[in-house]
Amino acid sequence: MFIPQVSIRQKLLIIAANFLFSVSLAGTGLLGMVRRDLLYGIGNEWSTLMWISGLVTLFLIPLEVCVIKSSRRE
Amino acid sequence: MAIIRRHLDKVTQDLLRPILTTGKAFNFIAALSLVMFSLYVYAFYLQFFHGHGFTTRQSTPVGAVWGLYAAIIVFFIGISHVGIGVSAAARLLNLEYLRPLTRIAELLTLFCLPAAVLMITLDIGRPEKFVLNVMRYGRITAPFCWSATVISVYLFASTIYLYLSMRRDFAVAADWVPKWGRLYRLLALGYTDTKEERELHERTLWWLALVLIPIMVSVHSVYGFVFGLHGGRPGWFNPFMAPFFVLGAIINGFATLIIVVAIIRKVFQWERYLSIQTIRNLGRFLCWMTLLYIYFTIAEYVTYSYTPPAGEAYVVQTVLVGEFSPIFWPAMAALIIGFLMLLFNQTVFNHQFTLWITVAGATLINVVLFATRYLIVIPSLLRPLLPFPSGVYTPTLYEWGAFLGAIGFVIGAYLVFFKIFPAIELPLIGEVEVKGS
Repeated sequence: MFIPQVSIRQKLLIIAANFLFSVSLAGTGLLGMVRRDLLYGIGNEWSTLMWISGLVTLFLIPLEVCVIKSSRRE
Repeated sequence: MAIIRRHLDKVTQDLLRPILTTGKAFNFIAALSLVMFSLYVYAFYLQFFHGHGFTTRQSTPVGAVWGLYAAIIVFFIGISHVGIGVSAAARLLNLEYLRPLTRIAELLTLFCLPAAVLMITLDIGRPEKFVLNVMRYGRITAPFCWSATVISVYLFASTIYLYLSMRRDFAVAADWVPKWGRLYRLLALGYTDTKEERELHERTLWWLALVLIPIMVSVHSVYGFVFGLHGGRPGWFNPFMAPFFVLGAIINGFATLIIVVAIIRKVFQWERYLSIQTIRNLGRFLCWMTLLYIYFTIAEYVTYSYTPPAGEAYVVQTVLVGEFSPIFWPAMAALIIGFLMLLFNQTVFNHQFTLWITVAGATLINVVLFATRYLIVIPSLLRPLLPFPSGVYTPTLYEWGAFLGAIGFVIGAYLVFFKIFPAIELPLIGEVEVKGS
């Protein structure tokens, strides 16, 4: 299977973007869950989904580290 | 860029055998697991159309509506605990002798976690709203929400871990298994098995293993909190609950791993790769953890029996001398027998280690662990919190059927995996002699 080769800088950028996206998503979700009305559980719906998705997508980073080929290794 | 084709050595050939050939036993076990899983589907159907009360036969005002389902959930989560744990420990501590069984252990995590989720779906009562409501309204203060978080993260991270550890095998096996060659090449994602790639994967997996260990502990701790944070429920409100659950999970998982490895070793005639010494080491660890569990159990019941509040007094009485004593005392006797079997097999009969004694001991301990899960859930739920008469609970055939269905799911998942992918890490070129020796 063809995997495009990128420079080491581009690879780092992809990983950093993943990290930022995941942390922002998880952070927004966590904040939404904290701010939700504790008695009635209303407001900030789908925050739990954002929180879990953010944490889960963090684990794409090891995959990116191994699968994306950078020019330094070639 | 293509991987260098190499001579198909005897060991690789042996490890790929289950993929290349299919025996009658495979078809029989596959059919059996399908029948078992259909029991779960039937229970799901009944509950979906007739409600939770239909499958649990809940009719009294006080009852154990969580019932057997909750005990099964804790049981499966416990088993899933150890899979990645063994693999991560083997990598982090460089325990080479554990390497051949790491994939079998990882699969325990990967299959038992969904099995637990299958049971959670039934336990919820409204399965069709289960995922949607948690994701939409999940509250930060709810242990159920923590559980959804840690299970999702653990399952995803474990899948990535398993995939990265298998990537080399996909690339190697692509040349030797024509019927799955295209799938393997697709999954290998351009892996070419160079020295640099291997090192990069090892490094990444090492760090991933390091991150996975605390997540693994959190998964079962959260289940301890699900029970331990119930302030009003006698027998549950206990700061000791989370560590007790983690210890139970370690025992549960190791006992299951010993059974699964022994079965695979026998069925595929892989005595060379899954050595008796490896199973012996697993048994040794299980033995000492069981002793610790016995100590924890004694400490728990001594505390609960010594001038307990009214609620705790009721629960302890039903367990020690009441309606649950026919489960409790035989379970404790079996736990001690299981421990002694492991202990004597490791020490007194040191020069004549017998595999079946360790496997029988592990099986006994696993049954006891299921019984203790049952005793954690049911007696506390039957104690009325309002002035009602005490509840009654007997698991229905539907609940047992759902349990069998979840076991069928795990067995079926193993079969499908072994039919498509290598069950043991394929050796490196220079490693063949060592692995086969």
